[in-house]
Amino acid sequence: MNKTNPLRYNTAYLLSAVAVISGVFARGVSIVLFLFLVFMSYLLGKKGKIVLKKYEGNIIAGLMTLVFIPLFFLQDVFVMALYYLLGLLCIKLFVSFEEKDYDHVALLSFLTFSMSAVFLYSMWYILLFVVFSILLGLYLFLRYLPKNITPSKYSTRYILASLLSVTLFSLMLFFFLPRNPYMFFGANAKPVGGDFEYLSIGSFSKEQLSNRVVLRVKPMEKRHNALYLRSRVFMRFDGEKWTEEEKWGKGLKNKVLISKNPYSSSIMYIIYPTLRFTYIPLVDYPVLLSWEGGQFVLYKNLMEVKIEKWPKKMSYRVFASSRPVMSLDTTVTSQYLYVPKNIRNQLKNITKRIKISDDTLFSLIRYLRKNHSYGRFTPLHDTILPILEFLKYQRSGECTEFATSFVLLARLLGYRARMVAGFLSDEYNAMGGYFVVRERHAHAWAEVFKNGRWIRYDPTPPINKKKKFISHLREYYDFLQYLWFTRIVEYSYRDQMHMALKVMPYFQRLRSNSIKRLFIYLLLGIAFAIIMAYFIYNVFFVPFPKKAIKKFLRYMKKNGFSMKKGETLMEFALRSNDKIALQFVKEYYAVRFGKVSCKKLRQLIHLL
Amino acid sequence: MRLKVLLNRPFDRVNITSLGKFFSVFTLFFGIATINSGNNLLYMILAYLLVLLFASGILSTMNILFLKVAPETQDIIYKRKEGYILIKVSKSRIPGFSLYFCTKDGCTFVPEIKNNEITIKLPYVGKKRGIQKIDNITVYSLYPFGFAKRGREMRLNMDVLVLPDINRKVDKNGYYQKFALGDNSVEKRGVDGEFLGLARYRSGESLYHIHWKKSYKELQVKKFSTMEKDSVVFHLKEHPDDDEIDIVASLIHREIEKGKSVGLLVDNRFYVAPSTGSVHELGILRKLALL
Repeated sequence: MNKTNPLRYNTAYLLSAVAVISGVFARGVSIVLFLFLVFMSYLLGKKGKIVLKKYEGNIIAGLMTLVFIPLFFLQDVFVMALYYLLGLLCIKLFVSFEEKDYDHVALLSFLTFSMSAVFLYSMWYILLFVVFSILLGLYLFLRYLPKNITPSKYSTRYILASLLSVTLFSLMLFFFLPRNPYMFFGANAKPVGGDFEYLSIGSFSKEQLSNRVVLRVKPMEKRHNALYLRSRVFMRFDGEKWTEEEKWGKGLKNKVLISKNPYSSSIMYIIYPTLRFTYIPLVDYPVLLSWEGGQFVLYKNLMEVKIEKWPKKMSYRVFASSRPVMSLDTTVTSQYLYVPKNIRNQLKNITKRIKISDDTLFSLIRYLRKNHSYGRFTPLHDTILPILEFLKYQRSGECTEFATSFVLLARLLGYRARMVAGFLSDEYNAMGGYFVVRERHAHAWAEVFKNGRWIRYDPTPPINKKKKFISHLREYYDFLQYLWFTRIVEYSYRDQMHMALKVMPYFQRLRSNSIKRLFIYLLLGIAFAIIMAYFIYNVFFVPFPKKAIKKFLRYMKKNGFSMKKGETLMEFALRSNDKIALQFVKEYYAVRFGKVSCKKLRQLIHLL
Repeated sequence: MRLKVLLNRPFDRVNITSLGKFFSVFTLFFGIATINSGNNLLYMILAYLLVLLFASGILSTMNILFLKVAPETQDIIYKRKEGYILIKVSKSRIPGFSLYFCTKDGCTFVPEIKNNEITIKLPYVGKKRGIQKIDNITVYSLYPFGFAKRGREMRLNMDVLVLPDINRKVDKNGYYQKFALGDNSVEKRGVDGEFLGLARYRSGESLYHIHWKKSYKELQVKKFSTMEKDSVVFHLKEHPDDDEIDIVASLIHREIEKGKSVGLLVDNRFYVAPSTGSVHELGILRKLALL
């Protein structure tokens, strides 16, 4: 174990620790094991104990490679590579260390960190990036120093300041690096499939526990306090679950529709599938949508758009359609009136209690809300079908139970009805002006075909929630996340072009303007450069005592004293008869001529 | 003024280190992978790598900018033996870190200079006797990240006096007989040599040397030999060759170490009267060096 340069030793360990933390962030709890291994090896390394010999480490690494080779199929190559690298890193740390092994640790840490960047879409990545980049720079700085030299505090501070500037500058450069719309080896990847294969009673309970953001929806104009986001439409109920999805026609599954809004004359801009969905969520009015790790998309007058998203490269055709989703398919009209035979009679008894009028459907909702409350539904009897158990015995359920009951009862009353699964979000972020759609917002409701169009009915009783202080904080946090995703994660060549197009008119105006104005711009530019250079010079290169003297003279001038020609600082301070000034000058002399540290002078300057 | 310094600065020699080459190639491949993937977080890392390369160039240039060297003094340097020279190094405005100052015979590492003047030792091996000129020294640094070794020749213009070689083997081959003019051995009574015996006390002699035990009849004093032993004068022709000078210098060094008085006569040029001591030896060697 080489301990000649403890700073370097610790930096290498810190680098690997940050890399592993980023891995944990990216791939979840399973990497905690690796973190534990790194921590253990750090403790053992500190005590000078060597766990493995070098050749043993190499054998284990080789065996790991053999284990991982069959798993290296294309789809998960990065996941496996990440685990593999982390494993290698851990082994490396357990093995006896030589000088060059620090380089291996640094390299592996870098690869691990880069690999985690492929998966880590969290906002915390930026924090990890800053820490990692400073540590990497520090490691490179320490690497070439002679073994017996420990850098002074001053040089360490200087290099840390430089590295911080490098990191900030790289964050600026990030926006200007050219983005490429074409991938060299791009293959058409499949979108991740399937959210709800079927919709069974009580299936939403699990979904509702998750707080994960699915989409962010930005209404072009806010009309309601809640947002209904349609995803799937079911029409066949077999007694236990909704199974048959409404068919939209051949080849439409992965396509995005832009259709007319049934409730207004405006155009409805829709949406392409998220990473989780292969189908199209629909809303009632024009919106911009963004998924977690996605971007708001607005396709105005676009007939065909290719969307390429990495690592899942997806290509979808976007087309406009005026009616297919909302119209009633006459070939399946009977399906919308279908009620399974085994529950038909029992449900009919319930319909007798409902007053039939023009307002029948609202009476039905009123009936359901009056006799049933919102709560967790857990089927208790195996012999009774869940929907009957809900209607007759438990009288407590969630949206699926309410919506299913509504659809079935409406069908028995002669209305053509269908079940809709999607999201209902009431989480409006006023800062960003968008709705956040989380997994827990998963919702089901009903649609009834009336007066030539499908109309939404939501029988689930509303829940009144008061906004807590923490939810305000969450709003801020979510807005930051929204900025992170839209401005950083999904920053693309389109944004660059957008930016360039915004700047272009300024240049054009500049070109058309007279030379006089050009000269003024030039002068302004030079003045700005000089101010910046002066600022940088003042901050980094003017020694502290010099700055202190300037402040001291300003302080004295405020008190009505100015320095005479040929007068020393001490004479000046004595003339002023000011205790603080005298103390300051004494300390200044000690710093200037006695090579004392500036600590006390820094404290004194606050008194001035 | 500063711009002038920047523009007129000597040409830097930049050697990219193996780490620098690896880093550049790695950045290139990483860049291709990033562009191909389109992953923005990888773009962030790529931007960092590029800025790191750029910053490396800027910081290393700044590190040896405004650097000044001036000769100060030298150690006693013998021919073919490592000695050192002292030079003053100053750096104004910007601090400098991890600098190597090199002569042809070796380097000295300076961890940092910040707005001050320091004196550093530089190794030097004189290959020839006499006044030697050191025109330039090299400054180089791997700062900040070790990607490139940036070096610069700096004008020193220093004169170094290299004394003749004093470590030649002169015990055999009759060199002593060849160059010595003759021994002038004189027996003298002294106070600091070996004990010789007792003698009668004469007035004026030191009371310190009286042997009180034997002085019960009359005063007896202890007799000592003198430390001032022999003196020898070495002789050289008017135009001796280097080899002869080295041999005589070695003989002078050996005899003075033995405690002899040593003098030097060079035909038609100078004569140094015999004496002892290292200062005397240095004086003779200097004269020999300048022959």
